[in-house]
Amino acid sequence: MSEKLVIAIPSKGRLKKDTEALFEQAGFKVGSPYGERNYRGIIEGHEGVEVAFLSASEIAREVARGTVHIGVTGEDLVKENIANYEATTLQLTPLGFGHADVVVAVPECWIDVNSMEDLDDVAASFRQHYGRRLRVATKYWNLTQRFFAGHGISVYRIVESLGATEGAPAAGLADAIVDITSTGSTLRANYLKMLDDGVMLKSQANLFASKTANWSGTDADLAKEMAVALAKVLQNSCDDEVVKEQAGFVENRFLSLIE
Amino acid sequence: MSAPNALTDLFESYGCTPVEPAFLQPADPFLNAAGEALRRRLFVTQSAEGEALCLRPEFTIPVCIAHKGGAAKYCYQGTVFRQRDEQAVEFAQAGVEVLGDNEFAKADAEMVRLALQAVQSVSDCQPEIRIGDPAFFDALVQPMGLSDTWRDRLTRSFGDDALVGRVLERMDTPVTASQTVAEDENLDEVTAKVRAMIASHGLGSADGRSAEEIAARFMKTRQAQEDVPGQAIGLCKLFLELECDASSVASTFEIFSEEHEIDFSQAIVGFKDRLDAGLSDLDVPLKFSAGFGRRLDYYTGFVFEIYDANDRSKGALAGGGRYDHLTEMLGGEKLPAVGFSLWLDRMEARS
Repeated sequence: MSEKLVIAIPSKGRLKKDTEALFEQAGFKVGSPYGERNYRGIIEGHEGVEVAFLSASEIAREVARGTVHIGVTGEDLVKENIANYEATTLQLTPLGFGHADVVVAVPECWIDVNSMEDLDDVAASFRQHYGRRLRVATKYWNLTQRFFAGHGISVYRIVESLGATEGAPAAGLADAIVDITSTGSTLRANYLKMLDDGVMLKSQANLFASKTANWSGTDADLAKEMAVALAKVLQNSCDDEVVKEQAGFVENRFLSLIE
Repeated sequence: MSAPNALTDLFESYGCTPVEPAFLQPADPFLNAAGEALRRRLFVTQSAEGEALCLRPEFTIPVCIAHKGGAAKYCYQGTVFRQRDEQAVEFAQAGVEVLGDNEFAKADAEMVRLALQAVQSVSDCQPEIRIGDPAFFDALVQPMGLSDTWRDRLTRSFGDDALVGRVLERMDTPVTASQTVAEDENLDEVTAKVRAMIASHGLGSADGRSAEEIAARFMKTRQAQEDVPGQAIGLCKLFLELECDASSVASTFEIFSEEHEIDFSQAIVGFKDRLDAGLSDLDVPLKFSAGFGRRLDYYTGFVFEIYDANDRSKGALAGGGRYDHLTEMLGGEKLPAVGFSLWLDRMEARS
């Protein structure tokens, strides 16, 4: 095999630990022979593979661009940041960790608002009451636009938020927010509540394969073997029935890619 | 190309001043007027100072922003830019905007006639006109015994069949009320409660939702949970299916009025005025469609579209209507406004 198979793994935090643990359980130990701070690594015993340690959002981008063959990253990042993600990436399976829901939340004192339909009412009459459009703070522009459009909501404005989105309403920067939450405690701490039907995406870490990468010359069989081994671990040890079911499709999905 | 000049000549002979809005426009007025959903259709860029700019997606808003003073008629012609999946992104448009004309029926009728003349001057197609008038829908939903909440939702979704269908479906399955406030609390008590929450949650910024508005809407939606009158949903569905020749609108609605005891007389008078003002003797079919409207909150009334009867699949050749709220929404003086635009790419130039 002349070309290296490039596997992208999150470069830090829980996501890195969980990913490496899963790979090890599947019999593929991730190593860092160039030092912990180096952004390249190896899979022990497999010389045809190169590991790239990247941030989760870089992984989403690089899988789509095709500089990486296989990568682990959040579904939210792929769906938010990659135009035509279905054309460039193949979602092989969810991995049962890295859970984060992308949700719509409003101030708790909006006792009249519990659903997207209520939010639609408020947005529709906002200009009439306050002389401006309802503002939604988020870093998920694309997901928000799609989700709101799906609920028939068009008259609102997105305010870009680059961090601490949940503080935007109290700071007077926005009226409502779209953000990720895992337990909802940050929302509660900021006196925000999730809308009953306001879960836009139940995201978790996923194994993605690139539809744009050049697979010829790489050890695609090894890539498949690796993906299938990861899937087996999930089928045997994951508590989540959805993950187990999805893991069962990995081999066929992979074959559809490299044929 | 001869066709474009022919259009400008036609519009100028009607009294229009030709205008040429810049290709690059501030993005904010479009997003404020049409909503965030439009952003996906815009080509947005930034000035060196960070202002969001876009390639003009249409002409009506730039024409209205540039307008100063009272009554005026404008015409325009040029390329507009909209993002579409796997479709052309540059479209040739021409059109007319009439601002400040207080003779509504006459102005509406003139727009339809002028748009038809324009279509006929550049294309050999067989035009057919479809008109809509939300006054009929308003007349229907006002007396049906619906709460304000449902009436607003219906009115707001008017013009989009799928959305109206969803609202009707939801009317059939009311949700349970929030438990935050006990059933017997009155408006003042609820307002005080919300005001206390706002203060203790640190949401005291001056331009957020007010306790009064939140409480008022809370009381209104609580009322909306109560029974929706049984016949309201069926009546809406019947109404939305109504289509007829413009000449038989009056008789159609008189029959509907009698059968269902709904008073359409005001709407019928307004509709007749418009026909009498110059739409009764057109040489092409003029059809009325009860569910036809524009779902943009600055469109306020009458709408029309011109199709090629031989090929409806290419979409409307011309579309227009009344948008009396737009100039005020853009920060100007409130002015009656009506206009139309032509999709020149959909019309094969006359040889």
